[in-house]
Amino acid sequence: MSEKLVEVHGLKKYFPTKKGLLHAVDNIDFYINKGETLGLVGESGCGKSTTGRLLLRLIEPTGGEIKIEGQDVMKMGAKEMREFRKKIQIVFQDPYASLDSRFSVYESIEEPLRIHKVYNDPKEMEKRVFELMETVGLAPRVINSFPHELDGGRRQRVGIARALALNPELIVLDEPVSALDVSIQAQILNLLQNLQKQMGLTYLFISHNLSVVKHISDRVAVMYLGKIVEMAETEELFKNPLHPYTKALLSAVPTPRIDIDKQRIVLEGDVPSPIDPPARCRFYNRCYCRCEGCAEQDVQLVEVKPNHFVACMQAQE
Amino acid sequence: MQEQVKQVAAQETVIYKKRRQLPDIWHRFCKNKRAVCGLVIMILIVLAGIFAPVICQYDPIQQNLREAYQTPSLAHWFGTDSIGRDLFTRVVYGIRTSLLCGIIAVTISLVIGGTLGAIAGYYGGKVDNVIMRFMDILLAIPSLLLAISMVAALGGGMINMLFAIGFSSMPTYCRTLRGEILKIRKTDFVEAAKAAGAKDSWIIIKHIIPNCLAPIIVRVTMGVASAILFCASLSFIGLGIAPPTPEWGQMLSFGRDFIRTYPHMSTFPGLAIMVTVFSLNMMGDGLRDALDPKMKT
Amino acid sequence: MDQNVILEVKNLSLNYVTDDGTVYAVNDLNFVLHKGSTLCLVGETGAGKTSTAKAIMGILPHPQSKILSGEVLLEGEDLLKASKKRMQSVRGSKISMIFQDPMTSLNPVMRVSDQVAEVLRLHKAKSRIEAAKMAKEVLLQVGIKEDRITEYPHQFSGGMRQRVGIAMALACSPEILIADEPTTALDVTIQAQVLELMKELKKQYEMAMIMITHDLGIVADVCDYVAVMYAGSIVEYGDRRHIFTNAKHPYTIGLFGCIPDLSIEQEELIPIKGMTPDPSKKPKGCAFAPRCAYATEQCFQETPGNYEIEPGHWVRCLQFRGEDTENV
Repeated sequence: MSEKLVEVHGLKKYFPTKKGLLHAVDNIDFYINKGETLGLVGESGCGKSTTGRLLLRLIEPTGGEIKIEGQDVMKMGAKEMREFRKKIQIVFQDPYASLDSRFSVYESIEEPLRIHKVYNDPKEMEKRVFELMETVGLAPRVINSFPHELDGGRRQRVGIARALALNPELIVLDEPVSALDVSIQAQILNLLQNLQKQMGLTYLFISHNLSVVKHISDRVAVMYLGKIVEMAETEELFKNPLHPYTKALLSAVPTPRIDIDKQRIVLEGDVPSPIDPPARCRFYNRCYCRCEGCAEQDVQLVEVKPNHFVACMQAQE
Repeated sequence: MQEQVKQVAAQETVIYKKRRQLPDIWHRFCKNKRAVCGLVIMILIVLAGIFAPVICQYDPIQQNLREAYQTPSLAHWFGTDSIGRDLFTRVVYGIRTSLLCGIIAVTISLVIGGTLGAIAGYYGGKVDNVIMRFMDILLAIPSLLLAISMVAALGGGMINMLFAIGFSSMPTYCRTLRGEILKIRKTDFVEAAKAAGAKDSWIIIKHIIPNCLAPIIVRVTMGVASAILFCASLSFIGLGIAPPTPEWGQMLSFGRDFIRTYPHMSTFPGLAIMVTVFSLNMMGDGLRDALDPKMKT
Repeated sequence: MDQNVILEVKNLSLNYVTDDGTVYAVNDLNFVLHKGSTLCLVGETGAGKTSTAKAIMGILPHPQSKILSGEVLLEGEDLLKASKKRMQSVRGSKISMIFQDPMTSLNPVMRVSDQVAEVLRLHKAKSRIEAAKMAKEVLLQVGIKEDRITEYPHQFSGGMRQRVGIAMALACSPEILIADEPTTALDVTIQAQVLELMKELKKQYEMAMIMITHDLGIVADVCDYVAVMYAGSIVEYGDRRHIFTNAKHPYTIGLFGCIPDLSIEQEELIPIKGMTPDPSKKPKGCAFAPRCAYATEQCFQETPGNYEIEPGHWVRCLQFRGEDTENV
């Protein structure tokens, strides 16, 4: 069995709102093995982005434990944490918003290196920036450009170069290709895969696009309303989904083929409010195979097959 | 070995240059004709103010009753007032007073209001609440009325008037800065810097300040215009700069008595106020677009 | 003229004049829409899909956009030459449109039932009571429960809002429905609901539909005919079988190669190299040539024509010159 780089136990984040506590992330457990990609899928508002930010401690969790390389991230002081941040980096969805419009490409990529005072010699710094640009496939001539002068794909490459600058172990990719056109999206996905192979990076890939997640991930976790409802290896999850929500989600994805006639499971209604949810299966009111027992108590994520976890009473039986 | 080095040097023809944003900003500014027009007029006005003694052949304060009540002529371009002072000279010297008042008043409100706004925006929570409610109270009182009552309480004179103007126009600066900081703090790039391990001081110096500078510059340009108006209004009702110091509002008020017989006495100071305020506002408008790097060049 | 054709777009070209230069949004566009069929316009950002739709609806932003040439024939009537008044009566009753963002296309201070009733009163001059009654019917039809029809848009979720948008578009039973990325802003499970609803209603109302999307999955789901757009032109046009089993244009093939597909195993994506073209520069020759793997010297020199390689399947690529059954 491979080594676990990230272990998360009972992670919680509640946001206080006027109407009550918003359970953005509610008691989730997962792990990421070294060198793999864990895909985190779910629809908007399910807490997947919050999970990514919690992992970096960009927002403080309400409770739970995050261990990276065996070290408890939650117990670190501010100074220790800043040092530790070198190991975990993040790439954001909107490459326009995540780059300071007053920073040129060079300054953007250089920023993490300057923060951590990696190089004292400006020549070396420059060399490293050029090196990073080459790694992510940016032509050296754009080095003095500002973000608004670049297209979306290039901007996202700058974002990736920034994230790589400090040689991290883990990169949280928060919808890195959602804002891009399909032809550019493929370029970025391939780049990410190549970088992983070359540098042995570990990814947490957050996305709402199941096709993309299937393509890039080794394992996939499906989130619904702040809970992980199913987690398994990619092939297993897509071939043999156990949770009714996963099944519906998979069947709802339009595929670009006309030769496959598939049965679509159309779910009733909308995602319920995450504010003070009742203690029962979160999927209860939309589930098409609920039984009485489902309404009575919360369901836990249980390993039903090796490496296949599911939070559904019926599937667990 | 040496050859290799040479080759590498030849390949890396593109080198990093610190690209300054000023040329870009200037380029964008120049595309806006009204803004350039405003800038040119302002430069002329400022130059006229600085070189007032060279331009004018008369004394702005000395009375000369023999030449009183003259309409515009070659000797007196703007005519003279009821005690024979050359109006052109007084208008030109008035530039000094008005601009100085405008700049000082804005500096006062920017320093007090801006600091309070920055504190409110950065710390948030209770501090924010207290500061902003105080600003709301200030905003609830018409600012001219507030300034008038302050001058009335403190007594007239330039210094008191400037404080009154600065204090009563403080809330706008406070709100602008607070809003900007709140907006920038939430952006992804600040979060990205935090994720890269940046300290608070780094984020403030490198990201927050440069990004809220632009709206502040715009605010200040327009603020000078409104402070000049403010100053003129207060002087008009006799609470501002006392005669004989040349000041446009006060000149306007002085000429008011003769508006039927000698309209030039109030027309020229009035025009001076209008042109200055107008060109400052046009400049501010142009600056707003020019300082936004997202606007295409 | 073919009785079956309800809308025909001929040689449509339009551009936008901005401070930074002229954007050539649509270049020499031709297509026909048959009664009761669905045509999908597929393409990436800036391909000119939405501009085409707006030109048909006559709602292009006024001073900036300019129609250079072409005709939009609705049952033989050229809509581009129609008067303002005529267009107002065409919009909503003959052709209506569903927008991408259901939040901004609804008026936030009006009850949803009133918004639908308003459309009816505009076009059918019904009495207030009658319009309200009909509005209720349409809203029930799109799956909005009776107790919620008097609520305001902000009380609705994204999917529900899009249902209201559909109800407004359908209120006057139009003959053509233009849907501009109607599900892009929605989650997958909600998207499935809306797509099912649209398919059902289309059958019920016997409408023709133009679906604008960038998602080939949605195209496979709803289309009868497909027009693949690139840089303001249709580069390939055909029925669903042509496009999905026998795509010929390098761009179409490229698009299929670069989207991850749930239903098959694929090792690596084959991206289209380079970036989407700058629409303010009109290239010489084929617009796709700089990114095309098969581009020859000639592709950069000569603008390709439209070649029909099998009945009803047109490709705009020089590779197929001479293979066409008849030259156009």
